[in-house]
Amino acid sequence: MNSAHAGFPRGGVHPAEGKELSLGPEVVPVEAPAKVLVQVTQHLGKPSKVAVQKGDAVRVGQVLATADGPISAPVHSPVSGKVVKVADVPVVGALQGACIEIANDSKNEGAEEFARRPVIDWSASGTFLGRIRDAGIVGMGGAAFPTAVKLSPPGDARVDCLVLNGCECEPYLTADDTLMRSRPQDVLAGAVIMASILKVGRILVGIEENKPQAISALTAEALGRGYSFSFVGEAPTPEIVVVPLRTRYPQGAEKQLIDALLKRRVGSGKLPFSAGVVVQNVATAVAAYEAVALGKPLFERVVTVSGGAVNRPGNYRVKVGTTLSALVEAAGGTKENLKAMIAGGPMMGKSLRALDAPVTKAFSGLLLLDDREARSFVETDCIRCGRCVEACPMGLSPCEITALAEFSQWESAVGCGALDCVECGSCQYVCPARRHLVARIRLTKLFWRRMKK
Amino acid sequence: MEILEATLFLALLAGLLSVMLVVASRRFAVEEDPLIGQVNETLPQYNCGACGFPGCSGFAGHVVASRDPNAVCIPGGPELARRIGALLGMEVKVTAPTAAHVFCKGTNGVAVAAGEYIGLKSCIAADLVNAATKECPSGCLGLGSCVDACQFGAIRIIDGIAEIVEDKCVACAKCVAACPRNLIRMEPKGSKVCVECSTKGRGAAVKKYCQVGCIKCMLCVKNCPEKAIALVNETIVIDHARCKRHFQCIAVCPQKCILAIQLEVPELSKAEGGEA
Amino acid sequence: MSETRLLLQSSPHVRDVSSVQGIMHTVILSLVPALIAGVVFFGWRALAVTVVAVASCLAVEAAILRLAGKPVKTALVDGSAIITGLLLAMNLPSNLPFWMVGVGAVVAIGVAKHAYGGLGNNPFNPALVARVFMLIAFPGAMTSWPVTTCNGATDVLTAATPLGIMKMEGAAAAMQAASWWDLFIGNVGGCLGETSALALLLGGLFLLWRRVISYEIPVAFIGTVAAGTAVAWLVDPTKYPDPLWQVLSGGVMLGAWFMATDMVTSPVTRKGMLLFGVGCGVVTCVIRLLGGYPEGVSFSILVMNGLTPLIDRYVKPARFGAEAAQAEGGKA
Repeated sequence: MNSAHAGFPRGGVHPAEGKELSLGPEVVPVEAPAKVLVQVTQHLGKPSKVAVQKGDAVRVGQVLATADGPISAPVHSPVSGKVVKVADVPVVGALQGACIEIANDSKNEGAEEFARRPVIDWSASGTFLGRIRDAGIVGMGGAAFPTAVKLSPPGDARVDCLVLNGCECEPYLTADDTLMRSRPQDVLAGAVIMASILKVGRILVGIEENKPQAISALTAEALGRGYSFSFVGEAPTPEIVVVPLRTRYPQGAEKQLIDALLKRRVGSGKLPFSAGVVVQNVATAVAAYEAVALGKPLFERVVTVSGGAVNRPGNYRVKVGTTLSALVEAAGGTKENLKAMIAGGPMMGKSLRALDAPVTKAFSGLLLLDDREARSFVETDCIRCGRCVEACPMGLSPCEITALAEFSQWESAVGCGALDCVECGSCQYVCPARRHLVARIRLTKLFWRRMKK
Repeated sequence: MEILEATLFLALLAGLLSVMLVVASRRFAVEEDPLIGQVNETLPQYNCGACGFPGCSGFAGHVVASRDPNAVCIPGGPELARRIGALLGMEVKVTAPTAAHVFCKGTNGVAVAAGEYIGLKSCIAADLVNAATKECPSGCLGLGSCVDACQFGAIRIIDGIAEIVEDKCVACAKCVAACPRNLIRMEPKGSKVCVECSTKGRGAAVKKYCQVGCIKCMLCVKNCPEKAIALVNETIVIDHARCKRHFQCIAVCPQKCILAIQLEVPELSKAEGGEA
Repeated sequence: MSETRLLLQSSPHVRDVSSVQGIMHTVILSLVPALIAGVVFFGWRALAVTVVAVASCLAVEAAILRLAGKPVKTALVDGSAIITGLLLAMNLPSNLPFWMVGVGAVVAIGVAKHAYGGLGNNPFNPALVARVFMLIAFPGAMTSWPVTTCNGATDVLTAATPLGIMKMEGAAAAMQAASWWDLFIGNVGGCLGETSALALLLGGLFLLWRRVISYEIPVAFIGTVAAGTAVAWLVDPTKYPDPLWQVLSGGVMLGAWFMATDMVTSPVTRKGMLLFGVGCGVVTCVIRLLGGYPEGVSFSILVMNGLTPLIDRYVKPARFGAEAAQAEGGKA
């Protein structure tokens, strides 16, 4: 609470961080398994179109599915081998989704292309946006919105600042933290590339104060500008400021982060463009750097595997399409007392029933919680304590919205601001009556959409 | 004297107000077709909304105004349709009575449980976050969103699946819309033979998650003498109009997921139900 | 995948440690000093009344839950019935016949709480509803106060409360009957749990420290009472004692720290709580200074309980980004 650093203005919670579990010295690379399942659509937007057929031989980085329209993204092969089939299998976030199954020949044909020395050619900066689009880069913090779209502000938006989101406010997750510590130069190179696309001269990097090493690494890099990568042409020199922020969930939520860094409020139902800001995740920045400097598409990422029920918690560099079971195997398997599996962080992640789903581009963490961390609760009546109101970073009254939702008063619930809810879960986290507040607000949104149809 | 004054004053006030009321009732009177009132009186007054109009009076207003022969009060049934027809002096569509039917028999233990769902007790909410109670991707979640939607108390959750009490069901179809897995369909009321499974899965995959799941072996389709059974959109469907109750399908079904409802099934051996 | 069934739910998957039960137990603990003070000043009869009140509240709660077919055990251990019993006892004279205490418990739990749907759904503070009911049903018994044991008296002797004396005989007599110090430690006539400002303050500060209550309601309530009575005192010091005396006497401390802060019946927003506290203070002053009753705390809280839905409807937290949306709307 008592922090000298800036933060968002109201609400929020500070759950036990649990980050020490997975915060190892380095990222552990994981070999792709013999069978990889590449989900066809891994972004928010129009589904991608499958571009390969059963029996096709594929190389690392080859396009497996193409973007369909402007708000879409292509998908690339993480391995070399043969396409076995395209079928519906369980995926994260849905019962089933189309996936391209590839038999991995472990030869990694085509990978050598991405192992050469990275070079940024600033004289060709006009092609950067296209390269990011072709590399299939999507928001890697979890939202999975195509990055190229976010880097193309509408004509009337006056963007003057790029915000790099290094908050990683979800408990347990340390993938971004590890990335910032181990590759600060690549993070900033990606940020400079994105700033040049946006034509902004200012980059703010927001990092929660519980990541001092990441803060110092990025600060040193920003001050020194000793770019360790090669470049050709004249590099732009935007102002880069690393801002330590109060450790408070949800500091990494777009609107909260913009408020904390710039004291600008993005209005209800508005995008950050309206406040002149574009927010990008640090992992996305690294992907953008690799796409520009190496022409490397997004087919691998760092994933945190953590929780009390996993034998070797840590951060793993995995190929997109690796099944979660293979990932868990790489992390030493699970313990007896496994009680819950979550894709993402504990505040906003999704419950998993099994580990047959594959890793996607936006998959930030796999939590395997033991019976002490994951407990079942019984919901009781609201005692109107008002803690949810205190905790809501959006200034809503969750108890009131859900009381209306309980009686199917969707219209009134929306009138109370249900659509502004970002589903961060702060209200439900503090609720002493263990009420299913977020689920009821989700229902409200669903029924509202149905009514509007 | 005082009493007189008060009485006079009140009488005057009463007179004045009554004049105002008379004027108001004349000036602001709304002319309504008396037929609307008559039709409305015959309606069941459930205000269930099955007809698509806001309440029974809304439906009455619509039929009287439009003389729409296709506008049906489903809960009222054929008897009511005839009466409305008589009132309006026209032919009104008469439909066979229907009732909701849940196409899942994957009770607890029969269908493999997926985990312990501890969220909001609502099928829709559970479905939103893909947190099911059973492994079957199309099985009844048993959390009672249909029960909440039914204003007639015609649905109960028994042993993890929803069951319709046909006598109480008025066929308003609210539950059909409420089920996130589309397991409830309107079927002819009374006796019928149904494939009690909605999974689109096939073979071993189905056997993995349910003991009474339809594996699409097609034995019932092949063995129906009336050709009343077909695979439609990856689920087996029986055409009730053509079903002559040979019960061959029940005899051959290896998963025992075809059931006769409100019917006595005679002893049938598999041989009899074969190619005979 | 394994024998132990995995938990499935919608996010968030972790919860804070605080629970309804924890909150209730903290409140129970915070009432202990006041109970001790009651026993010190009014003897063991005070404890007996408290025990009877708590026991009968629990009994009524169990009976109603059973009748309603709700789980009895979980609701009993949540501690809310114990709090209602404790607060009811705090609001009763220590010499009240036990059967009347039982009647109060039936009214509190049966009528004021469960007729509205149980914990969380009652619009009025159950203990206060019972107290006001009893004040009207048993006016004699509810307003004859035993003299404190420190003055060497027995149960038989009764005396008026300092506020009663103020109403009948004016400021000088009242202030002579009870000094600041008497009022502060609780050596005066009154309900068994309301007299000791010191004990109540201890309990209230404990609740503040444990973050069960926030400062808004007590501060606004007590502040408003002090301000209102200060005006009266400045106007006519012969009739009205000074504000400190007023704040320490009667049920202000008990009401402001424990009754008005009841979560269920008070607003959910901080601003709403401030308004609620000020309202309680104003009504209390009006009744005390201008009304027929010597004390108005109970009534004031009940009145404000009734206004709570209205306050919650109009006093809402500031929505994030509302200004930005409004500015944009203004431009358009």
